[in-house]
Amino acid sequence: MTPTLQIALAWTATLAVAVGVWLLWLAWKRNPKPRGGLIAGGWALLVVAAALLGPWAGGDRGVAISTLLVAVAATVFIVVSGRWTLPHGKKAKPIRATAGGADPATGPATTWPRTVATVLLALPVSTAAGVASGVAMALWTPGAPADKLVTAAFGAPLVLAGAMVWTCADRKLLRTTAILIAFTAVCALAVVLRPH
Amino acid sequence: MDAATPPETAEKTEPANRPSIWPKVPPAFVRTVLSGHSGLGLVAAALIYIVCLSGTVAVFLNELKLWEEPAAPTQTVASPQAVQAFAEAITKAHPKAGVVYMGLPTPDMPRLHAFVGEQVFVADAQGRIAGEASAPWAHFLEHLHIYLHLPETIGLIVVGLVGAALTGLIVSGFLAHPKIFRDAFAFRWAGAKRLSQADLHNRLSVWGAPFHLVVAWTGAYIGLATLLLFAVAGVTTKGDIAKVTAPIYGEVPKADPTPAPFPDLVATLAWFDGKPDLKPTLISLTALGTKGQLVEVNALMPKRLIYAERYTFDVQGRMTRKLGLSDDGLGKQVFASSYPLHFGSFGGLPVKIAYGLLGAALCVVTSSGVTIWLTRRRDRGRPAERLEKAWAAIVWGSTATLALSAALQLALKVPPVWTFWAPLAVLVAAAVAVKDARFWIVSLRIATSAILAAVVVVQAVKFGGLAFGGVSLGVNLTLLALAAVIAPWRKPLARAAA
Repeated sequence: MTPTLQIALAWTATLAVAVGVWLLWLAWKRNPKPRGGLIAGGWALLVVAAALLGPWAGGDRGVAISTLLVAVAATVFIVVSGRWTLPHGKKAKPIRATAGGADPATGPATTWPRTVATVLLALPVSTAAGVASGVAMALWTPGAPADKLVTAAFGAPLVLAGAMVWTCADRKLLRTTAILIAFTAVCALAVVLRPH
Repeated sequence: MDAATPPETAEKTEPANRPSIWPKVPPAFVRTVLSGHSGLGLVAAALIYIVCLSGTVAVFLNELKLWEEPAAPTQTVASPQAVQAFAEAITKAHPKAGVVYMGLPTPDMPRLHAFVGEQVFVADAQGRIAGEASAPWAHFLEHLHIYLHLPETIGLIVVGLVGAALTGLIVSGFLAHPKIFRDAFAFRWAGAKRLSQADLHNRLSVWGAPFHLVVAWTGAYIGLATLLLFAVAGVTTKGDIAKVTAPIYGEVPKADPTPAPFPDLVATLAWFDGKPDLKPTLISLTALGTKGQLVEVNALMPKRLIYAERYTFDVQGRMTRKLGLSDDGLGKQVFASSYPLHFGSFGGLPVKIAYGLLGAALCVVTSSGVTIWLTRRRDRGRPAERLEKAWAAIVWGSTATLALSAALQLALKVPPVWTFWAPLAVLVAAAVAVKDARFWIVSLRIATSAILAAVVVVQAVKFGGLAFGGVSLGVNLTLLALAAVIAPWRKPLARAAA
């Protein structure tokens, strides 16, 4: 493929991103009745844009760049179409939005001792669980040694992140403590029983 | 941090007359996840904000280095002979340097330069050492983002924990807002405070989510990898970390201090001639002049996301090994792609600008998340006034002291670590003690704006004409634009109480 064609495809991809985001904007912002066609068309154009960027930017790099383009384009649409001044009189069109929203449940940190316990659970205890799961993943993940390490290195933060959120949400501190300790113990056992 | 649209303030809505395609999520689950989202956000908000702010600025680290040291010589291409001469000169000047990293000119760092420990030296076109260009403020910024100025290993782990917390917040944010996509374009700044902050928080979150998740997750990975490696090495290799990382970084050759000829870097670089898909950018030189010396070259692959492919060369400049970051299994490719994805270094200035904008959005999301929580408390008659003031001081104080650290480093060479953290601590303490949050927001925005303008003046006075050309001009204009945007020009909207 010639460089000129690659650049032309890249520009087409940029246009596809703009039109795709515009279709989603039409579906979700202007139209009070969400239209499946607009939504499907919008997302399809965004996927096509990633594919069109490939020849110019490379496969994985093209996906990353098109994702950035979508984020920036959508943010521009939000800024342009946002309500920045107070509506006056009948001219103000309503902005479609889902009414209401949940209020958070009461969390575990209701008193100082419980707050300290929650922080301890969210940081050292969750970190121990995350690292233990990482070591277990490094030893038990099938595949090449590099794949095992990378799986563990990306998997452990996810476990840690999940544990952090959970410990900050669950009111039953004893349950959180018990499950995290049990999880860490199971990971430790998996390490002891590792394949040789 | 609750980003839910407040029920009592939601605008009149137009209901859809078709059944929703979105799955029903049990309200109790949403409320519980929202509780975790709020709790974790509050615990980690200050550190997340400082890491995000410094990371957003650090996207432009190379541009800031050029701006901070505009007098150092630049060149778009370095001849192999100049590289050879520079390597020999650096080794002669620093014979005890174990490892020397030589950066070849690239579009965003058009200099032939060498890292020796914490120092950076630049070369002229002939490869002679032209001087030091260590860019201490840029170095400070880098350490702020990566280590929070803590001892390096501890700092890296703390920042990794911040990344994990941010990852958890992003995922829990989506779980707690099942209708977030449906409202993806509804932005009502002119409304009750909690509504406008919720819209700001949710809109910037939903569209920036892929970027936010990638930088948070890769940040957590980069930070916590050290901790994980210690643990894996402790279990499997009796603490030998090099052995654990060998599948990715390759085996580290044994040191052999027996004298040996200096490697032929001209021949080394000649190996890349006729290979347009490989652009050498970094040469790593270990134990030069000994039999155990190691010459490794990182070559950028322009159409790949990976930071580079790495090649090892012998003393005669013959390629002996390819590490395989580009093609040896998915794990290595994911590993090598994570750094450009985190730092935004995979697409030149346009990608950096996008990273800068989305990074700023992440700062706003962090700030608005805490503001929503504080506003809800105030709406319910339980205002946390000290926390409101402290948060205002952290958000706008850190931007002001970041600018202050640059101004004082440029003008008087005051160590920026002190001029960032000490005034920030004083500001938070002062804010808690006196006035109200509104006063601190307005005052610190004015201060940030004025100091940013002062930074430009100081740089222009210090470097004269160099401040008005090339990268320096771009950075200075950006700083002035930021100063204009941050200044509180408009009278605040008279918002209805929720």
